[in-house]
Amino acid sequence: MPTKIKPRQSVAYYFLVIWIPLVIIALLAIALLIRSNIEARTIVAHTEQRAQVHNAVLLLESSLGGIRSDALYLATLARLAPSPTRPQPALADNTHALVSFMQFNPQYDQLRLLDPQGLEQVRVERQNDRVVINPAQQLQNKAQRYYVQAGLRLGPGQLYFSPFDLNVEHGEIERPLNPTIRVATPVANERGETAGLLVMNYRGAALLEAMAALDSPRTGQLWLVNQNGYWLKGPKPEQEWGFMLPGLEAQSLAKQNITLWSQLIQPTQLGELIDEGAHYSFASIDLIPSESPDFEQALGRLHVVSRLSAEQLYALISPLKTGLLQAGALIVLLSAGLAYLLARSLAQRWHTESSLQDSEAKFRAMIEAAPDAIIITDTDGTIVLLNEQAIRLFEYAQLELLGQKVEVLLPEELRKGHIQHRQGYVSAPRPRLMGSGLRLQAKRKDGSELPVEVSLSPIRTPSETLVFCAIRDVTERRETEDKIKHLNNGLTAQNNELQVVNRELEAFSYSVSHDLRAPLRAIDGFSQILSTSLSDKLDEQEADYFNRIRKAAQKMSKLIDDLLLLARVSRADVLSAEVNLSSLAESAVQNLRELQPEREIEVQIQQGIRVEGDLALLQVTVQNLIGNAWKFTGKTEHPQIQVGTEMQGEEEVIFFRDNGAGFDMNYADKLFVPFQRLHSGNDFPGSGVGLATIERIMAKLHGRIWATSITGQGATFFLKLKLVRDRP
Amino acid sequence: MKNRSILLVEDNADDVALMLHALKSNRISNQISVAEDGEQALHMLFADAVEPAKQPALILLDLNLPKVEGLEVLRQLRAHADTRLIPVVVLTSSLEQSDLHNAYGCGANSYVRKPVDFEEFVQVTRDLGHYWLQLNYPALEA
Repeated sequence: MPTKIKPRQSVAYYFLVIWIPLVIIALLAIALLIRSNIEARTIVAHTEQRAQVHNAVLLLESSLGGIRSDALYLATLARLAPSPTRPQPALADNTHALVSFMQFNPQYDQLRLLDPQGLEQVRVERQNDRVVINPAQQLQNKAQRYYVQAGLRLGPGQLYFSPFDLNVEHGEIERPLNPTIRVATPVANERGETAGLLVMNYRGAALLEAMAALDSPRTGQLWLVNQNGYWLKGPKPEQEWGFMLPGLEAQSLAKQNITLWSQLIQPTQLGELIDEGAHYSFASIDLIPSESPDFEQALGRLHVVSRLSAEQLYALISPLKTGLLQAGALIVLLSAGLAYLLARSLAQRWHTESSLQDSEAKFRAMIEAAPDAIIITDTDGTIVLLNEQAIRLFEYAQLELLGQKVEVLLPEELRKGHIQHRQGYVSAPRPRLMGSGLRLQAKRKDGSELPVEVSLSPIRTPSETLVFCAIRDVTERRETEDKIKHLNNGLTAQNNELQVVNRELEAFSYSVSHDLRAPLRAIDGFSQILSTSLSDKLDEQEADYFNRIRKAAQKMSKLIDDLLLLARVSRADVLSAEVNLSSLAESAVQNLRELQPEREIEVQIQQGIRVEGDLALLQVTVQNLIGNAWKFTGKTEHPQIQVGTEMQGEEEVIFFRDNGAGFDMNYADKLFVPFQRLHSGNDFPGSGVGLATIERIMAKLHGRIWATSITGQGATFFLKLKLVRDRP
Repeated sequence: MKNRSILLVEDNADDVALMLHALKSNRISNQISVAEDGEQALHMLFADAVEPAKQPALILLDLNLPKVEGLEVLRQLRAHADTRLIPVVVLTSSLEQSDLHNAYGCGANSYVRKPVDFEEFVQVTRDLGHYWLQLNYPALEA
């Protein structure tokens, strides 16, 4: 059941996934904010424009109102002067009154009193900031001037406002330009008749300066336009006064912005217009009609226009926009930081999760790779995890076992006890074999039982302790164990039997050695006694018969001795020691020489042949081989016996060689069989047990004996024994 | 010495006859007592309060005996103050190593095998008589 692992995602991936939407949202919000701010700012700007226009209108009206009240005041002042007694106005009084008025009202340049015929009576002027009274000889008749003619047509209390234009002195436009409004009002005598005319030159510059003060970068530029569409205060100074200044005739609003002008000349006094990106707010002022009779030349209608160009509006908006964009950039940066932190924590979380999944997968793979069935339970014995081997072993489906108590896998009679053992284990968990030394049984789904071996280990996690059970099916092992036990029992029985047989053999040998020879001794003894006592009565043949009886008995005795030796060799305990074979051979030869001193045999024995083995058994072997050589060279001329070692292939072997009768190699396989003889007892007496005894000894010493021979030329017997070599 | 007896402990009548014949032919004139089993031998040595002087000069002891084993007879002889110094020659057919060990272990003075060849038997008998009755000096009881 391999666990799927999500492909690894980098921090950059998470960063982009988080950050891009954040940026989009932030940018949208900023854009909306900018837009709504621009709108609000535009509305505010337009409102301010209207307020500016309103203020300009108020300024104009109050200025004109001031002029009116000044004119009416001065006209009244001048009327008191002519009295019946003094038909001529008291010029001196009027002059002083006008001078002092001029001194306190700098907005006026010139004040004049004219008689009804248009002759100047008094002229007070401002020259270089000083108020000057013109001498009488300089007074002129101004009856032809339009403002004099207009003024003289008015009734008492009425005012005439000239057009707002540039002052002209002696037919020349005064430089620097001096914008002027001339105001005329009749001066009445005590009878209420028009006795003269008051003419005031209002300095328009003051009014224009006051208007200019209303200009501000936050609002539009304020224009003042006369009824013919010329700028009195315009976008630039060189566009102003086009109706008076030569060459500037074209500088007129009416000509340059027809759209706006067509709006201005509407009867409505207020209005707004957007034209070519600029916003215009405007108002028109009409002088009271009674004060402005239908003169050809009069102040007439004035237009106040506020213009807010696209550039100005942009200049107003751009700091705000820049601020918002900066804020937006800040938000984008902050969101980038935030997104990075979030992305990193996500990536780390992913990494943690994936390494968790990874280690889970490893754990799972380890459990599945285990050769044993593995079941993991909690401390209550509930199965929480198991591997494929467990499913195969118990032949359940995985889901059938998960959540079950582990006892379902036990034969019924063991369940109760197991619950107690399990609780005992949980109280002191440590790795160990379950039921050590017991033959545990488990139960499959189909109820069949199987022998198992269970090892337990506690698994401690931070949250809980689990029990790890490795279960091994030991059916085969149990069978093998049983087989071995059975075989062992058989071997023990056989061994016991052998021991019994061995003891019997021992007893047999013992009784043979004690009892079997006594009858032989009786036969031999009494034969001898009889043959001696009867010696003179026996013929030769009878004496020979007695001899044969005795020989047979003695031969039987020798045979018994040899057989006893063979039996003793078979049951002897083997002691291992270093044995000098050369010495054994020499003493055997010595014994034989003493028994048969008449024999002349050439004996060569290699010195220092040492072997590892049992001294007694080796003694028997050497005596036998030397004895044989001695015996079978009995009929040889120049008999020789050699004992030594030689190499046969890679083996070093010991040989006993003689030049005696030898034997027929065809019968070599009978050489070591008990009682088998290759020579007649007449030629070479013997029992036929000696070589059988040696072979038995060799078997006991883990050695070997074999022989080669040529009949009539001698025999060689080889011994393979464990030779002891001199240590360097 | 010549007056003192020889005790032959031997159950086989043939061997007794051969031994007597061999002693006679070797002219050994000492009195010969024969015990046919171990029990009889012990009886002869202890039962009738034998005077020390009447004790045998030599005991020829077979090992394989009815009733009481030869080795047991030897053991009891050596355990008893009156008999512990009597020379005992084990005379038997066996050459089993265990027999040799046990015999000497129990205090046998000599171990001689009975030969089958009667001529050798006579020779052995003569040698024994010569050695134990003439050459050898036994310890006398106090």
